[in-house]
Amino acid sequence: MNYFFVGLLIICTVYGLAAGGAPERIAVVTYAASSHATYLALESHSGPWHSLEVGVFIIDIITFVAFALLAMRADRFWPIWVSALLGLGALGHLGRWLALDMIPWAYAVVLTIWSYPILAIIALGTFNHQRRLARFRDDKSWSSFAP
Amino acid sequence: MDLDRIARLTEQQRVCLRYVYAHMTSKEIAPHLGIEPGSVDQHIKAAMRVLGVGDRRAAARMLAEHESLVPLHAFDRSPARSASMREDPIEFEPTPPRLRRWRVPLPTWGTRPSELSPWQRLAWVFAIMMAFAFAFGVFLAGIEALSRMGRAIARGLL
Repeated sequence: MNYFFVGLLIICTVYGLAAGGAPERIAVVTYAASSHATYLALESHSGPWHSLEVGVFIIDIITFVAFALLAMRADRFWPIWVSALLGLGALGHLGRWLALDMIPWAYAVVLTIWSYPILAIIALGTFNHQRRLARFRDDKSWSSFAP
Repeated sequence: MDLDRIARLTEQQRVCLRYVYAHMTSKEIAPHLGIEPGSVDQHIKAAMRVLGVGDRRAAARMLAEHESLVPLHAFDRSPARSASMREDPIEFEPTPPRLRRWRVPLPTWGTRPSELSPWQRLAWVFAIMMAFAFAFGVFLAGIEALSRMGRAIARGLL
């Protein structure tokens, strides 16, 4: 278990819940749940990353879809970037599936490297939300689209 | 003729119109400028008279269309940067305004997320994914090539 990542995850989740608007709060809760589910899926068997991680793959796809929906609805730019990074993680599984000789640590790196920028982007989104609140005293959560 | 009219707007009137263009009411604009909402109304009404329009939104649109002719790097739609506008007036050749249908999904250049439709946002998600995957691939290939070169050089030296 990577305590550095867990520490960052907790800090970003608490910050998002305390200082974020509705999209930020949904994002940190979804991401924390997804990270925990991934941890459980990897703990459930021995020798993680040696073959295609089906459980993690499914979790990654569900998380990607959730963030893509958030990106389409929320009046924010950051979920677009987070969705793209999550999508890259999901593509990493396909890489493992196609390149069967992929060494386990490379597979693990390709999947987990995106977690850090994702947390950073959500934290930055929360910070920008606070800045808009300070400047305009109001910050829309969801986009309204002209029919 | 519009150019002459727009040139006659005072900086205060321009600032107010930019806020109006950002869908803000006089009450919301006033605290940003440190003046009374009534004074904001006065500025906007004066600007409407100068531009010869009867609608504050039409006036704001006229100024915004005019200012969109200025190169992007020189002008930011966010009112906070309008001060820099005043300091260095930019010479430009008027060209027909270009409709920018695609906007970069970044909170810069005064764009708001609501300017992107849900499908445009989804398209951006995939575009960024492809760009990152490509960059990552090029990066790995570069490392691979460098390490091969290093090995070849090492073999040559031994």
